[in-house]
Amino acid sequence: MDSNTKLMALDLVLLSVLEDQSAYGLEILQRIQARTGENYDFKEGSLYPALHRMVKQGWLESTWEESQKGGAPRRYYSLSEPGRQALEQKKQEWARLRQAMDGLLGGSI
Amino acid sequence: MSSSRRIRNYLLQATRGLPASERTLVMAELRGHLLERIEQYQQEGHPRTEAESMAMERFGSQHGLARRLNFAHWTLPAGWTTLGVTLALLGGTVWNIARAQTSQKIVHAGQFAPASGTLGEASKGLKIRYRLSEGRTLEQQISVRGEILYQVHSQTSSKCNSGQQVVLDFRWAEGRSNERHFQLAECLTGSEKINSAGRSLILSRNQEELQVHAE
Repeated sequence: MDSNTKLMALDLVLLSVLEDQSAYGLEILQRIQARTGENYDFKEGSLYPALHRMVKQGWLESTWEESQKGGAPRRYYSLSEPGRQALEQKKQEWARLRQAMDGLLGGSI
Repeated sequence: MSSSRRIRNYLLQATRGLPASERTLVMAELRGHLLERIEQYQQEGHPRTEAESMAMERFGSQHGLARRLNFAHWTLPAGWTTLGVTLALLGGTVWNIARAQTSQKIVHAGQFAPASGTLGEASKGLKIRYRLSEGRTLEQQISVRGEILYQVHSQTSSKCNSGQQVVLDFRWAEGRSNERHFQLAECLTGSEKINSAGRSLILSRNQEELQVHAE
């Protein structure tokens, strides 16, 4: 998949994997891999600018917690109420885009 | 180059240009990610140096990452800025603090008088709420347990027009030799008021407010 296409969907992807449960960076990546069958891979560092931006937008909340493995503290991200609203809006936008593209491309792919 | 120095250089480049107040936190987060990946590769049988190279390659170019992080951190509503959550182990450091137990006191920051006290015992954490002048509210929570002591003071800062910033320093102990702290700072304008009431500490000025509450 083209990297621009992936970036376009990144907010929706991140909000979706945090919908039910908070997670820290690497855990978020593992969820994305598990749910997309590794078809949505990207440079792992790209995750953090997106997460930090969404915290500043008020879509995500973050909490530092001790690692259960005894390592460095981890920053856990979870959806805020505005984040849930943004997720619903983005799901609807994506559904409309998918419908439009299906109509445009028909059975050609 | 030693292993730890290699990682440190990578992280320094990846976070170059970030507000000093936020850089420590971002470095800690990225470092944790890289170390976990390195450990994973080592468990798969890769030597340490190779595991580091693989983890950094998978993480991406530090220069590209620095650009994207700077965009995220500098172009969004700043309001109050976090000076730094160091979550550092201060091992046995004694923090001499006058535990002012007054239930309510107001300090005018114009002539800035340092203040200190306690927010009491936190069983869940510290909730930090920023109410910005445009009416938006940002919230952040830190997982903390124990008695939260605070200290408010001003210090010189070349980044501020006033040449001074007000610093809110929160400390707590997890065990006898495991003291941790968290700091917030903002440029001093002279209109700041500190209001300590029960489990909350509120720094307000004009139409903005920063509230820290022990839960």
